[in-house]
Amino acid sequence: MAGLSLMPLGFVIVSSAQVPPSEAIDFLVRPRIGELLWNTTRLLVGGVLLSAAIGVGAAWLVVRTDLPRPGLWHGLLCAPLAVPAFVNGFGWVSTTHAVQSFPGAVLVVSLSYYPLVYLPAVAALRRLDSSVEDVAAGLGHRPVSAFFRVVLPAISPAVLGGSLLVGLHLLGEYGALQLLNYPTLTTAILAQYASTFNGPAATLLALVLVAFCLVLLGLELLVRGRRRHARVGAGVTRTPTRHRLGVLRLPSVGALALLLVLALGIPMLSLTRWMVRGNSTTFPAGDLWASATSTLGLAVVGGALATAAAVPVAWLAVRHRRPLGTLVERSIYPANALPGIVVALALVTISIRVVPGLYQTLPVLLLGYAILFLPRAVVSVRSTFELAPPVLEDVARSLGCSGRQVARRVTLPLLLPGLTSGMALVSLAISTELTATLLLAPTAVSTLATDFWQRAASVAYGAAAPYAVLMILLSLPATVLLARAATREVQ
Amino acid sequence: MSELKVTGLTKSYGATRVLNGVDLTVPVGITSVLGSSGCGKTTLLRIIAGFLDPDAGSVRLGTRALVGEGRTVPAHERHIGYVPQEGALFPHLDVRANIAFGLPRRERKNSKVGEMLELVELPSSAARRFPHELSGGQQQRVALARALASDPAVVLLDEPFSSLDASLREDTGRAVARALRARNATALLVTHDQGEALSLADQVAVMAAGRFLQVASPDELYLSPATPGVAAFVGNAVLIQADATGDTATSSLGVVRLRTPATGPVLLAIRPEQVQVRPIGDATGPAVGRVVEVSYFGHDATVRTSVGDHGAVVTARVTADGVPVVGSRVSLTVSGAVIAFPAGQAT
Repeated sequence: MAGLSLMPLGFVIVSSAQVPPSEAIDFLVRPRIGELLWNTTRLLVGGVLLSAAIGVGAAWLVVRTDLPRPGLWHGLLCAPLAVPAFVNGFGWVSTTHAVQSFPGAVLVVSLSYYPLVYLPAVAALRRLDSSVEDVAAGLGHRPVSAFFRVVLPAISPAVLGGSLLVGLHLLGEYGALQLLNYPTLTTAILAQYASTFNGPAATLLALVLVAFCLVLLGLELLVRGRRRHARVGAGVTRTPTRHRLGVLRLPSVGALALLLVLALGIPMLSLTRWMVRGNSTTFPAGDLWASATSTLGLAVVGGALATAAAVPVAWLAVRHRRPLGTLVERSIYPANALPGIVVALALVTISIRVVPGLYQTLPVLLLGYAILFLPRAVVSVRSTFELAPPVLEDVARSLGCSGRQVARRVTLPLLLPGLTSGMALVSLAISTELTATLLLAPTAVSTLATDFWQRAASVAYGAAAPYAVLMILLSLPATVLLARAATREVQ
Repeated sequence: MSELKVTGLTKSYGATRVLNGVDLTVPVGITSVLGSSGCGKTTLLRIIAGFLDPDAGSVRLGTRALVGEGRTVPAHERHIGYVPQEGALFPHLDVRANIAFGLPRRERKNSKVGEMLELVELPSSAARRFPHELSGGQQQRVALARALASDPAVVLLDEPFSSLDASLREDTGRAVARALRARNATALLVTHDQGEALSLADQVAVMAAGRFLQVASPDELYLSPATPGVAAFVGNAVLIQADATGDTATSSLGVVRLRTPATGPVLLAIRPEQVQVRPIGDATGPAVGRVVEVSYFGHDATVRTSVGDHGAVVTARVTADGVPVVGSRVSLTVSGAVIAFPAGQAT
């Protein structure tokens, strides 16, 4: 698994190495590349900061204050997960062209990706014993300073992890940025690929992109350092005291409502408008049905595949904390950092060169999904493994269970919730995946995302809208599962 | 229920030797392994349960060899019940399913669960609850019921009460001991709490650095410790150097009476309840100490005093109405006969 996951990375490095150095340097020092680097960097910084601010702020309001109906807010705040970034971009662009700018791009991608910080922050805040805040108050800190000095550091691993995910997604984002007319490394790679089909320029750009991802991974490791945040002592966990918002109650509700209008309202409204009014709107029920079933099929099979592959990796990482286990686990993460385009490029080239019969077939597409989304599955499977401590297996063995019976009666039932949510996570990602699907899908197979993209890219907004709506509806169950998991994990 | 016999058990992790040739016979009843953390007691338990293999030595159950003598019986075929710290109930199963876990499929439905709940003094209504709905003490009782339900030959309990708070610990401990005795079980209870070991067990094995210092009944252990180390650990005795001449010895606490005659340099093990503290003045005793620290418990108090030029600290237990002030000087007298060890004896 680790080898397969590292294959695209190896591909980028090997093919870049085949480009003559002088040619490579000529290519990389052009002003155009500088512009792309600058664009990518500032989008990364702006998008990650804004997503983190929105995610942490919203999580704190929902978990730690007397906000009315926190359950409802939680559900709504998770909902943008069901709206792919490129649909969100579509909604904004088809409403106002003002978003085709740096601030616009930062706003739109942050509205799409803040749930990646919000969800882990909610889970961490719930897990955090509120007595640390009480202690801080006892030491004379006001709530605001207690938040920054105690609460934020305590949940920082979760926030950092979420921010890393946001950063990696931003590096790989193609659809939304293309619609927003904001060129980055990734959109440039696709443009190069479209014009030269895998010329040296595309691979060199991919190499730069990979370097970006590795820097980001390194930064996160560096910032996180050797921090450990464990609850000390086995005291009783108190139900968290919720801060009284007082006069800030109305503004807080207003801020969250505004966030939801921007993240959900605008794209929904725009989709509805195009559905109702668009000249090109048709309801080709047959096409929609075919596209929906193939999307669903790919999502379920790909999700199951990635989750099944995640089990041994997570098991190695949790139960065998030795260099080998860590190495295997770590080696799969760069794959998630690689944008879909790089993975797709690698699989296209390798399949053509090595097994031409497999080029643009379902197995390669599914393999691409598995490589891209294995890390997500590992993350959730891994956390469930930690819920199934070895002592339970010891007890089961002392009660007369053989190894297989232990797996069936104890380990598997305990892992099942994590496996389900891991699979939901991957299925959700697959059903909205665009870039890799565009390159790898067999010609006869189209998904909701690719069908939407073809129509939206040719400005047939009305025709595109039904596909987006269907995509959102299909993503809803998985999103609900994730929203529930963030609150259940903590009990 | 049959006798468990451990012979010459040795286990090392890397260069650290955790068990150093341990011998132990566990008869029917409760045997406690008492030792501070890291002394190897949990390793011993895990080897008996079959979760770990020893480097050398054997474990026998009745006439059956479990490990050693050329064979190793896997954990699930040993019929040894295991109650770990914090119970480790299966979180996805309710109490009924937890207790019935080790029973053959056709027996899981019958009334055994009710019988086991009654045994560990839990109401039958608890059967439908899930582990997270139970208190720590209840979880521990269910864990014992689960271990006992399949009639194991031996039950191993690994610090089963250490995660409970003080009041619950005593109640749960007594309930668990009653249940074990009612089943006429052979049980091995590992603990670092000497109160727990002395009050619950029929036999106590004191362990330090991978070997047993003494294996004896609780009263024998307390009254006749085999080594100064056991005396200091069990009963919090203070060890003081003295010079013995027959029935008495001379020390910084004056002349004390010895339980068994000795001559030459000895180490006295003096228990807090053997030291009497009086104000200086009326009938001043042979030794004077300065009060360093007072711990007041209500029913009594512990007074730590520093005695003599070397500042040896002597602990005394006094009644609640006779507590001296910290910093004051008091007169100390040792009453009753004192245990003496030859000065060179190892801990």
